[in-house]
Amino acid sequence: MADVPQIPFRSWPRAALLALPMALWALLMMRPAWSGGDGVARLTAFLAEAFMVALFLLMLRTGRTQRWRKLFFITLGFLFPAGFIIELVRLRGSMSLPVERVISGDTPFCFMVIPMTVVPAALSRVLIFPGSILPKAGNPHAVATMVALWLVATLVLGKAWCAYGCFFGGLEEGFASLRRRPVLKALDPVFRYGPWAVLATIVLLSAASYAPTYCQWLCPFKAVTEFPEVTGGQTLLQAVIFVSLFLGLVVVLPLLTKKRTQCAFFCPFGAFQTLFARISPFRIRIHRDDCRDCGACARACPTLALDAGGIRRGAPRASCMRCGACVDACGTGAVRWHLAGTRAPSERARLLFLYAGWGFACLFGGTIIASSLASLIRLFR
Amino acid sequence: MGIKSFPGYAAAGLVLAAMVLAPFALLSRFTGLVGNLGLRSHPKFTGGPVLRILDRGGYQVAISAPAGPVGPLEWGPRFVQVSWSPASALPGLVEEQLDLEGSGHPQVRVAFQVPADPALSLTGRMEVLDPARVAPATILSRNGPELLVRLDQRIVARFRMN
Repeated sequence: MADVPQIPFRSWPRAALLALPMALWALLMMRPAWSGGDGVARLTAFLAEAFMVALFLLMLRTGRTQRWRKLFFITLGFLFPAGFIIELVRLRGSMSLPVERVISGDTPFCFMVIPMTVVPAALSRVLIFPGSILPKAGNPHAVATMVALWLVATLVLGKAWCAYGCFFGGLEEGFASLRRRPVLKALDPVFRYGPWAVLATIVLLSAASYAPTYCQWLCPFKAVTEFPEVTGGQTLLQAVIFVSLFLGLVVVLPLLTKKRTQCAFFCPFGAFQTLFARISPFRIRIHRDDCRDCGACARACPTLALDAGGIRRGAPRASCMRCGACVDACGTGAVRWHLAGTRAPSERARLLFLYAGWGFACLFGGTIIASSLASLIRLFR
Repeated sequence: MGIKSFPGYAAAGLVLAAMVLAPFALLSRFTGLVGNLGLRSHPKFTGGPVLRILDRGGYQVAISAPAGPVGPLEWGPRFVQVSWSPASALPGLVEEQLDLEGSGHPQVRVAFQVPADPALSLTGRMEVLDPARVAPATILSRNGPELLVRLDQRIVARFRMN
């Protein structure tokens, strides 16, 4: 146990020095709001990026990742739908997606659709989504823009998208954090295959029907974004399914289990992103020599990516999203950050990962937090 | 850092480079790449490409190609989308006989009021002149299978085909 790394508390000046590149990056991310936005946009851009830099500084100062990442993620998870709904109501007067927007191709593209579009696009060059391919006045969130964003996120984060980018995961993380202890502790590990089953089902159904099946029938987050206008029995059933899945998987089960149950048991995009997990050279490793098999890391994992088998193997499952909860929970320093193919010390690997991951979080999540805050302020002004 | 570690650190460097380049070059480059893939929206959403434009003096009537299932296992009705524009130039009552398929013979007769208030829902009547080609229907409405909606400066109707 002699070489067990200690949690690297840094002095404030040293942490500040290491956080300086992130502060400069955050300043760059504020530039669009400062050059073209109004007073509210500038204020919220400043607040959001200052928040991001402060959290990064605290990560470096304390050596902990999960606690500060979670703060960002929950903020993002709750502000995104708030801002989105405010904008929808301001533009259309309701959260529902009217048929006019479908015909106009003005539906904002969501990254969740990507796995379903692949087969029809490859077979017929047809996009099975009512959005425009390129950005236009009525729809800046066009297909090409959002796919480009996903490509960058996959290159930079890989599976860590689920912990540093996906605004939907923040909602679950928020509800999972409300109780101190879980009520439901024994979760059948077979449910971990749920996302793969959902992914396979929706890809096959979408390839057969040429329709975004998940968006039409299964997406829990339709309940807090936009959903088809209720005009009859089918659209009413769809709305009931969206709300039920949202309440069950995003609110109630995370409250009872303290896990991100929608991500762990249902999310097809999470499974899809797992296919690209190896792109990132950053990993989590368990050093068996230092491990006491206490299971604290497995209990801390929000998505059940780490279990007794993983601890014995010395690595979590491919669905690990690099949130850092297991590393922070380990009392002996056996769970460490790892840079593939190197013997880089855990803290160096973590620092390199965080520069990339948190940089993306500032770019993507930081700007979403800023714009959602701006929408909220304008609502009450 | 030994020579064996070089690929790992190089990969980390590439990841950092991708992140730094994202807002300045990568996002726009990738957007262009995806935009140039030649993808088109499914015609069941957008109505398909316009085949013929009829000039009615102050306004135009655009008739799209028949839209319907594209995929080998896809199911669903075929329809033809017709749009009248600009809405501001339309008379208070539009009455048309439309040749939806360009066969030289009209297949439907439609009539609808154009309310001055764009927020008001549209309702229209239709008479099928060629029941062999057009599915039977009498009402055009916002929520019906025979659709009639207003999109900014366009009024769009969809007719189900047999």
